[in-house]
Amino acid sequence: MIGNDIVDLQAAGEESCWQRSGWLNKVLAPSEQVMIENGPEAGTMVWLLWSMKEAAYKLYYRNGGPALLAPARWQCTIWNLSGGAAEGIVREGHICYYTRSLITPAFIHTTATLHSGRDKPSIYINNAEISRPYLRDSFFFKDSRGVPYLACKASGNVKPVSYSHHGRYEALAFFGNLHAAGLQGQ
Amino acid sequence: MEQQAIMDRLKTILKPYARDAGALESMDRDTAFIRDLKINSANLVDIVLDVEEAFDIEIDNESMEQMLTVGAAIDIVQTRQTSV
Repeated sequence: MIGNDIVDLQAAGEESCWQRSGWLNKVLAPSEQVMIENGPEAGTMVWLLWSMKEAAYKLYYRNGGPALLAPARWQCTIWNLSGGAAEGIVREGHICYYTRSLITPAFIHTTATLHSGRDKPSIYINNAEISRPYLRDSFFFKDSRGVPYLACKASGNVKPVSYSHHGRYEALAFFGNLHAAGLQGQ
Repeated sequence: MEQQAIMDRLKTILKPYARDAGALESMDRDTAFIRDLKINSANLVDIVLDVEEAFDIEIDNESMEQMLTVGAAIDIVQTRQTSV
């Protein structure tokens, strides 16, 4: 299982003012606020931490956790941040979520998993291959809790996927690949 | 403050963030910010701050956890206002 989150940095800049009084206190734990103060690019760090928390939260919710607005409870540690990539851990209670992030000037994308294993998820970001026409042989649906899946019309195969949308970007992440899962149809 | 008065003021606060204008117009206590009004999750924090300012209350992080629906927001405002 996987959670993913994408932040369109342009949309984030237009829609949210993280410098607003009180915003950071509601989103970040004190240890995370220190990272903002010490970081060279505060805005990028804010949205990196946000996307890590959101990706972990989506996996938590997918696994049956109740819906919550409690970003400061998901606490991030970043152990590697270089070359437009970041790796870290998000802790909530006793559970650790392992995160990998891609940081570009236009967007930040994070996936969260419960294992730090070598299995690399398939990630599609605004990829033409994943656009709606491609999905004519399969369909995207959400269960009663709003958790997303892809299903193959022909085979009935169902694959858990994580979907994220913000501004100009949409992202899909899952383990395995669409072709192998028979989700593209014949 | 009456529930309807809170609801009306809440609607004004939600307007710039809601992407589904129809759902906003017909909102009731069960309306969910993300699922129904299509509000982006990062804006939920802005909404909490707007509600704090508009009603002159403080919403701690524990109360904020449940603030995902119109009804929950109204309850939080009413609880905070009576506790002042």
